[in-house]
Amino acid sequence: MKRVIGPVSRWTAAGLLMVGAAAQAVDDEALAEGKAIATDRNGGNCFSCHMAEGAEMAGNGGPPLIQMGMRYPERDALKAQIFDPRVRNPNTVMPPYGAHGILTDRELELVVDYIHSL
Amino acid sequence: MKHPLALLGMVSALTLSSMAWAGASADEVEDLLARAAAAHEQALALEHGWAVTEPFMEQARQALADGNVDAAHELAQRALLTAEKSVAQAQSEAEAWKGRVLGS
Amino acid sequence: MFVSGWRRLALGGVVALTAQVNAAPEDDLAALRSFYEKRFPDIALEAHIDGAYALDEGKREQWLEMEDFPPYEIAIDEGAELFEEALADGSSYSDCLGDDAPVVKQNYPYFDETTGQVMTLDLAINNCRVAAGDEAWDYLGPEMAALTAFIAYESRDEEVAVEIPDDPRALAAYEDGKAFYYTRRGQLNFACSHCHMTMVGNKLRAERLSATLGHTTHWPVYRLKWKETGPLHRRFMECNSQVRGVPLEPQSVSYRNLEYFLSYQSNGLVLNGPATRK
Repeated sequence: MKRVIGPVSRWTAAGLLMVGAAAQAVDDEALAEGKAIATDRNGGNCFSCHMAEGAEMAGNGGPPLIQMGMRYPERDALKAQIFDPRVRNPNTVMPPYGAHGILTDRELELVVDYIHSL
Repeated sequence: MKHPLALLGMVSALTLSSMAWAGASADEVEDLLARAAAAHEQALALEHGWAVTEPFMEQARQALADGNVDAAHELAQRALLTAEKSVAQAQSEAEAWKGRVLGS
Repeated sequence: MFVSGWRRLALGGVVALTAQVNAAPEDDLAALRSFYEKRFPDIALEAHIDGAYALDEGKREQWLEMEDFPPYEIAIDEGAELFEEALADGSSYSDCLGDDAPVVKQNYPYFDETTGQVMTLDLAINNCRVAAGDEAWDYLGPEMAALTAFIAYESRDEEVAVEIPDDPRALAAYEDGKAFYYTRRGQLNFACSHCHMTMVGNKLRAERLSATLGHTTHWPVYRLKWKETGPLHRRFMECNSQVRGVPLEPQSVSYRNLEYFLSYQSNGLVLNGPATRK
């Protein structure tokens, strides 16, 4: 499988975008685990609706997962959105991954780190 | 975060999960499972049961049988959370669906 | 011959004056069609009877190729044999389903004033069997799939003409189906409307989400995923399972009411079952 963002380029990108220390503190292994959960149909299944770099057969029901660090300078805001998107939009089609217990707390943190790195 | 309820939800979810580390007892697991089963029955009666609740209950019982109380506790909590949220979904949707009707 | 909601709608202003009891269903039907017309300006409303294959030219071509040797053909042949078999008391399905049988699919579902419930073709078949002293078939089993496939095939090109009679119980059944359609279910928290209206035409992974218009015209369906022909209610169960809800029983009151609501939306479209789906 093609790995679009390698460790070096990600560090570079993070530096250029000035995402800051938070993103850099997340190690590769945790990011890989977060991506695995995000990909898993029984996990986040994010690519069912969102396109992302490196995602295969991604859907298009939701916006592409790009420049997430810029779109969500505050990691907590991204986490809140994934935890329960109904707070910002009651009619959202996105599942409440935290509020409905779709992901465990640990899984949610890993997915947030991964999505935030995109 | 805009919505205070969401914060509350996150705090309570974190509190729940941290309880597992305090060293759960088998009795606590049984209690959680009984509450989960009751809520799940209520959801089923409303045709709003979730498919994940029973598997969580079964896995919790299996973990308990294997002597893995902490794992059983976490699974029982997930069973209870999903059962309670399924009932809450049935209750809120009794009105909420009307807002989605085309042309409404 | 009664006038279907679709045709009544075509009569325009007269509707508002003469059909107050049915005002809500007719408004739903008009709103639904207008929604899909706006969403898919280049796709004729009638084309939605082919579901996702109306929305994707590439997939449509592959699908049409499959029609050269349609996998539901076995079910039609078996159904034709079952249709000719006498029931336990010597009567036939035609005796029970009416003189037009097997061309009767267009009459279902209807509101049965005797039971106060929605009557589907599958339920009517089992009622015939039980009344004649036979055992009811499994609603998800091969016999029901076969007989309904044969009846659907013989009923092809008939127009859907679902009526909501002037009976508060009928309107209540329709409203219940409508509520089901718009209600969030399962851990993933989706209503039918989220996939088939809000996200219609979008891709879930590689699969396109079909329009609700035409959803009921082509059943039973040979689904490649199932590797057999199966009924609409099995698809309801699958949808509910996919959002991680506990599916209801096939032919349950709620599923029959949902079928009533959905079928009404397809009034005036032609029947095109059985069909093949991925």
